[in-house]
Amino acid sequence: MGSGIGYRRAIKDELIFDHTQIDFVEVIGEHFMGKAPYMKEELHDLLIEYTAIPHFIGLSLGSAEGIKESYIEKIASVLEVINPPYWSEHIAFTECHGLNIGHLTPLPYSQEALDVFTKNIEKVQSYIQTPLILENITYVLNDPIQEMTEAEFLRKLFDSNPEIGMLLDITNLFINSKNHGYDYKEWLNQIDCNRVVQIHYVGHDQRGSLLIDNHSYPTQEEIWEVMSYIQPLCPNLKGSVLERDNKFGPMEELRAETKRAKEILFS
Amino acid sequence: MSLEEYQHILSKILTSSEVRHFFLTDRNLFLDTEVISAETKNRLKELSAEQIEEAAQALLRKRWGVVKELLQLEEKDARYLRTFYFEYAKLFPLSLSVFKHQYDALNFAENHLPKDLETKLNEHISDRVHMIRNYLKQEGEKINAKPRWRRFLKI
Repeated sequence: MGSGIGYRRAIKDELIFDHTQIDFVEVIGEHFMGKAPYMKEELHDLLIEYTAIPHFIGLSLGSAEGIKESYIEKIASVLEVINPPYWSEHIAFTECHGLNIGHLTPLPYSQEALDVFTKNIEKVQSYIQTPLILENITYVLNDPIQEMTEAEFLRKLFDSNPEIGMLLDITNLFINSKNHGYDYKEWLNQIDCNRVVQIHYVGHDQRGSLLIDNHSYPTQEEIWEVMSYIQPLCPNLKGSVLERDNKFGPMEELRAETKRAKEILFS
Repeated sequence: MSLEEYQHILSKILTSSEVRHFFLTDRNLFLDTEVISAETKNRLKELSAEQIEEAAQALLRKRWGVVKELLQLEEKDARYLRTFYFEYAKLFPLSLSVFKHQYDALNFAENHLPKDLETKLNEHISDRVHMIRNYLKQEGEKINAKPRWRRFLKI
């Protein structure tokens, strides 16, 4: 796959007309779930130019009440159009009992949550054959009664299902390590890095003493250092995605970042 | 602990400022009104108040980021309207629709803007509302129906 970028409408024209330093795009799957003709045209235009990897945010794989078949069917129909080598979702829940939280919320790291997550993934896999990769999220809220650490939870989750891969968000990892006071290298030692198929990276923000994951800034040197650190640890890495959502600035700066990622990870 | 109980209560705490205020003011009283296991109560009692507030604010910021984008607000207009949006969003959780952010933008723009909005900005927002409504119509949404999130406001 190589070095890619998150597709956002604000940079559509630059991406369509100039492929420089961009090997593929990642699209937010939910954007293309609708029926509006112009959305189908937009996706069609993109697929002529690039391989697209769909990234979903609303399946709520961690919901104890289970996941909706209708949502899985919508994902399946997007995957049918895109026909990607794999697709991704998050290790999180986003809704419960009719309430949409509006953002990815962490699970408590418990055996019960692990069982729920595993069961939900199996349900998805019974509908969708395309390989699924799962992303680590940032979190503010710490589960007060941790039965296991996040890294242990992830290790068990990936051990329980050999078919899933990992989307390692190195910015999320760095932010969590700073906000919750642990060593990201130690965290990486505890998970199975052989399962990492793709990475996300982007710059972070700071609010008081907390680092914030707002996808709005150039990638800082400390994140590039994490990237260099994980490169030899992840032999099955296929792609990297620059995940900017706001304050895009000149496209040349984004291309310089994807070029640098390619040099670090794939040269 | 029941994970479903924990997720249900946490969802309410994070998305409604009224519920959150009740929880943070008197956790024992709040939890006594909920039919949940003792283990879930214990877990919820131990949550950090500071982290709950920060997580709830982060959710509002994420929502605002999407609405700002949908309404295509310039930076200075966004700065002006941010406070009004946060006041509105504290009371109105997102719907479960795939188009939840479009409904969020519509509800804010049509019902919760300040009355003395300058004409140019008012016209810009009206245009955007029209476009969002057209988009939802193309998607086959019955946008004149009563917003579905109202029922979640009950504590």
